[in-house]
Amino acid sequence: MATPTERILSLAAYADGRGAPVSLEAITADVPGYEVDAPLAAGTAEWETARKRLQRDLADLREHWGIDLAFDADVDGYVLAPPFLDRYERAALIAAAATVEVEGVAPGVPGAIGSAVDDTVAQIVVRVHALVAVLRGAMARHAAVTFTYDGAVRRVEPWALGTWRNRWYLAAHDPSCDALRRFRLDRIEPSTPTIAVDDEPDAFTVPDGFDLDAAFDLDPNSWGTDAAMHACVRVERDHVDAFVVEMGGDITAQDARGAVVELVVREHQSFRTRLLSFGGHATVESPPELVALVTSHLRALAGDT
Amino acid sequence: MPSLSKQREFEILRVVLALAEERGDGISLADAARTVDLDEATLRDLLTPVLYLSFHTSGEFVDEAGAFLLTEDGRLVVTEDHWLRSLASTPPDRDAALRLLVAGLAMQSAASAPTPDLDRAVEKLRDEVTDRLQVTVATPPCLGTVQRASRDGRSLRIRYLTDHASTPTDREILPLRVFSKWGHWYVTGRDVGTTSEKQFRIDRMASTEPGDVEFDPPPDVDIPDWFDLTAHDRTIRVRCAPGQLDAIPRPATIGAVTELDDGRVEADVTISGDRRLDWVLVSLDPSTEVVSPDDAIERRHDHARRILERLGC
Repeated sequence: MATPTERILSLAAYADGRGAPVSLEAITADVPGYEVDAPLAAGTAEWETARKRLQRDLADLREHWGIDLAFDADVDGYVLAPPFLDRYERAALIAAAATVEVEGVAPGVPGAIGSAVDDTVAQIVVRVHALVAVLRGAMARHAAVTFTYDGAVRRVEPWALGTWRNRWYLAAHDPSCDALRRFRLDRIEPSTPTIAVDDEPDAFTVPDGFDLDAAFDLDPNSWGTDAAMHACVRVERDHVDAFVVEMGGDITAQDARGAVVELVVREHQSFRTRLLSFGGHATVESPPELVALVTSHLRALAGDT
Repeated sequence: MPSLSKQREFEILRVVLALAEERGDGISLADAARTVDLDEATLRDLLTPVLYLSFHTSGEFVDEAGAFLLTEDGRLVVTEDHWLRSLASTPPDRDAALRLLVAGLAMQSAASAPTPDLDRAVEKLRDEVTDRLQVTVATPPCLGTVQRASRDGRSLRIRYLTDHASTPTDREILPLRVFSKWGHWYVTGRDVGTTSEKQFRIDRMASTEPGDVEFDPPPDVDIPDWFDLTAHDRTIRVRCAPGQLDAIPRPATIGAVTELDDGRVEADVTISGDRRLDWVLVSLDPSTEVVSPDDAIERRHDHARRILERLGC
């Protein structure tokens, strides 16, 4: 006598193994636990009992296993819906879950994909900010949100969430100035609730041309509005990689002492600040305006002016 | 076997199936039983109809490769695929989908080769979670060399710039574990000939090359929960125009801001390490007054002068 668990799982295996629509009659003939004493006839009490049992089992398959086996009138039988992930996609996600430990998100239902990986071999740890969940919900509903940032109350349309240099940001359209703004989530000020989501859904539409990558490129040389300058910077050998990672640009010459890196500067003050983080191991050579920007600043600090 | 509800039986089966499929070489029946809080015999009874489903049905429903099996040495394994998981047509639940999407995006970002299977999976999850989520993991130039050395159990010669020095040092380390956390890649390692483990930031390696010392990577090197850098904290107090606080480079942290009668503000600025302190000091606008500590003004002056000398001014 098959247990309910065996019967229900056998039903799924049977439908999969047949690879074609299956009828209630075939199920009662072939699947352990559905046996009937005599051939089924539609409309009889026995037929109705088997049909109800099948409906309950189909509901269990859907709820507990995500397996959708449903009656299709067109083919006059029960048909499996196609899988959400194929085995290769699932394997890729399991490998990702084993490599990347995600902190700050609830684990999901027991037995969910990726829930049982050995996280002692993880190579990358990503922490998801606590406000991501509420903002994701608002984004899905296309609902505006309100929060306090830099001491001011902001009501914005949340367009996207992303990271830049390990910080989580919200890219949102601010209707009050009709501009895209980026908000660092850890600078949103605590309140009750910290983020209020409007009740009204579908309050905005994200434009088709919205560029997700550009929204979270917070490099000042990308978003800066100062006059663009083509800079040549000589960087000592031991600092070249770190310089290119921090500032971007292209290495245009290299020798035993170091390299020349060329880049376009669009935010002058942040360029100077970042250049100074190399403590004199990176020297701007041109244009003269940028050279002066750095040297005049240092002379003022050194008391030479 | 104690009476279990159908829901509980399904949950146990899902959890054990996940363990069998996601733990590389499967999981022992004993460990699986502990995980689901059952004794071994009870779990075995519960699994029997699923384990031997193919035999129950004479191979008509699923073949052996698509089921999960209990090996002779008591391990639950999935050999190729599991039909139950492969039949799921609904997406993972909300939390699991977000977790998988974040992991997938991070993996894509850090990958050094095409990931077509992952790309398709991520697109499907994007449709369920949101198509407007971005997660990036930057990869420093030396990462590949460090990962290879760690994987192969070979020492690594590095030219390394510590957080507190302005010139790099040459050293040879045993790279025990490579990981990314807090937005940076690190390797936990030991200098050759020493026993104490240290964390090295891979983006501070000016150059790397494989060394000659071989080692067996230990299995129990954990990723640290956090680094206690408070001993390196340096704090200065500044007075400046309110807008100039925004120009102070992060990762400096700014304490409580006090408004002064002259329109300026006063705040404490804390940064880790002397090298970063020097950077903050020379990044401040010249009009910013450094109030304390007493030697900060001279330190700012001296560092600015040192940089000018390097620049040939």
